[in-house]
Amino acid sequence: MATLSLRNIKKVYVGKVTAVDNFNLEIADNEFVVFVGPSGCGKSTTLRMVAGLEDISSGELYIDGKLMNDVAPKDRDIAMVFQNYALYPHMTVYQNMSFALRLRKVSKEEIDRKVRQAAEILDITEYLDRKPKALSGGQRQRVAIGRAIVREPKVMLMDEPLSNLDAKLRNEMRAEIIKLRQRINSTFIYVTHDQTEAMTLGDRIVIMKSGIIQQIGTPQEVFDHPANLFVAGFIGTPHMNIFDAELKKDNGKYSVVINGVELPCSAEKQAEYEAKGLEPQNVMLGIRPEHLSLSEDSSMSIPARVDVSEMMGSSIHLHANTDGKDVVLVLQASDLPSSHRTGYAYGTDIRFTFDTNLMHLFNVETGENLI
Amino acid sequence: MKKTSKAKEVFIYIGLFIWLIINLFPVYWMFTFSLKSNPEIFGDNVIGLPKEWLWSNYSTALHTGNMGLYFMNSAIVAVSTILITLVVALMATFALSRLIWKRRKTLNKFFMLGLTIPIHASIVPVYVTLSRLNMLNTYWALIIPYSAFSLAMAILVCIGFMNEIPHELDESACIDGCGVFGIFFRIICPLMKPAIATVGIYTFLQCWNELMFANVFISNNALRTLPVGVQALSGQYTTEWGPIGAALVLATFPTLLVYIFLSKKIQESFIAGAIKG
Repeated sequence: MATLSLRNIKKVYVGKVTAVDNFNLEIADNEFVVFVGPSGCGKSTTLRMVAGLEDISSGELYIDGKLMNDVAPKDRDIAMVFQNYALYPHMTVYQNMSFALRLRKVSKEEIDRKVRQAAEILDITEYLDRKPKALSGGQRQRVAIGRAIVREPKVMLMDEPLSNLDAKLRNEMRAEIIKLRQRINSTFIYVTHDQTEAMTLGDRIVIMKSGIIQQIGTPQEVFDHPANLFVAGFIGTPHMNIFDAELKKDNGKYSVVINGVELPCSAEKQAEYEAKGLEPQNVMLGIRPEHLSLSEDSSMSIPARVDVSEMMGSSIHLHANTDGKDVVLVLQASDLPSSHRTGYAYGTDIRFTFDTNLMHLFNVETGENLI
Repeated sequence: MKKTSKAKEVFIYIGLFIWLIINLFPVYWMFTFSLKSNPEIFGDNVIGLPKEWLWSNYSTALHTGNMGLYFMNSAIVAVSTILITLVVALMATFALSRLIWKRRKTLNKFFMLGLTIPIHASIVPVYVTLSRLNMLNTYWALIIPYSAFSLAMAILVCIGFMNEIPHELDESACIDGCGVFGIFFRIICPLMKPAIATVGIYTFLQCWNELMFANVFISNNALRTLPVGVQALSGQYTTEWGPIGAALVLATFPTLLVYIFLSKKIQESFIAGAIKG
């Protein structure tokens, strides 16, 4: 267990490419923090700076209050799990897992005890004498995790550890990591580009784009209150629908207008906007697909035409077009009339609406959440 | 359809058999020639089995021709050259491939220039240098130039292999507690076995068969290598070709062993990295 403090961390590569800029984060003891973002957003670079595999161009990194900028990776008391496992191919699973302990001159009995204990936790005891090439992808990843946990590191770093696995195995390993986290006392930093992993694993999520933190928060916070359009679009599957809209204020009452349809804001939103002193303006309105519903009321709903209907089992993902813009609705099949439980035909005219209490308004120019 | 493929198969096997004969004939010819007398070699029986099996040719080659001594000299030079080439090439490759420093690409190109220099073109400057260093007529007179001329090819082969090793292994070892030497000796070197085999075999063949440097830089009879020794068996007025054949068989023997026992390794090394493992 350890606390981490990243203060004004910056990484500039030769050629003056800034990979990470002004990165500030405090990580508590035993916390599980997930860095998430698209490729090239700087999440892996930040993790590698914490590991000591990349130099920090400026800023300070503290682990348990000690400045670590110039400390060698082996002296930081960290362990790292790599995307491609990075198991030593010429060593057996046992040798792989015991390698770090052997370098630290730990006694043979102690090594044996720790390796077998870790192997038991990860259910890989029967593979201890095998070489990595004789293992499947999932087993290799378990060994890689085992190699990290035998060291009982203060900080466990994971760089997209599940990306090389197929979807089923990824789900299983994700559950394994959650269990593992409860069994070992380490602070975790986990890097992924998969927002589902981020939402399910992290105590807190750090969403990054172009080397800059977009938002830090719990999974619920970033889902319910995205700081900007990027976060709104990145978190949640399918992505949040974004509409060009107008925020109006008539007689002290806020309403939003989309495609000429005016929807009054909920009482809660009225109070929030009032408190914030929002002026009437053009906005980007975000609403999650699962918060949209079909409506028959022509005055309070927006017309659209169905493009694609995806039957997902319990729900239907309806891709439609409204005034040239794509919109996705996630509808519970059980709520639909029996004639539409398997979907809607191409070209069907529908009308949809939403609870304005669940919408998000963003500044047109900056993309920042107005609340 | 089946008939056609059968005929095709027979045709292929006939072709392969002819190819086998063509390739094995020199070995057969050398072996039988080593057991014949001069009259048999030059007319009576050029390609047939010896009428009289003259095993004494081997005893003449070994005792009168000093082949045992020359064999030892060649072995000392070859093994030393292989060791030096491997150590230097692996370390240079590690520095060029894994460590990040300025001008490493330039230095790599400089090493590769070595591939373009014909060994014969350098004989005079190398001779002068060795002479000034008082190294002529020592094993070093051969070991150093052989190692130097093998280095470019060795680095070329090693870089190809080392680039295939994921950098994450170095990083993982670094986090586990290895320094640069630890990464090199504990992680990289064991993974370079195919490259080590390739470079070892290539270097062995180069220096085992080399004649020109060995002939020019060594005049002391006690330090001669096999190719020079075989050449010396040819007399000014009369030459007994049988013992020369025997000496050639002895000289070829290690090369044949290398091919017989390591041919699979050689093939593997040439295709390593070409397919996903």
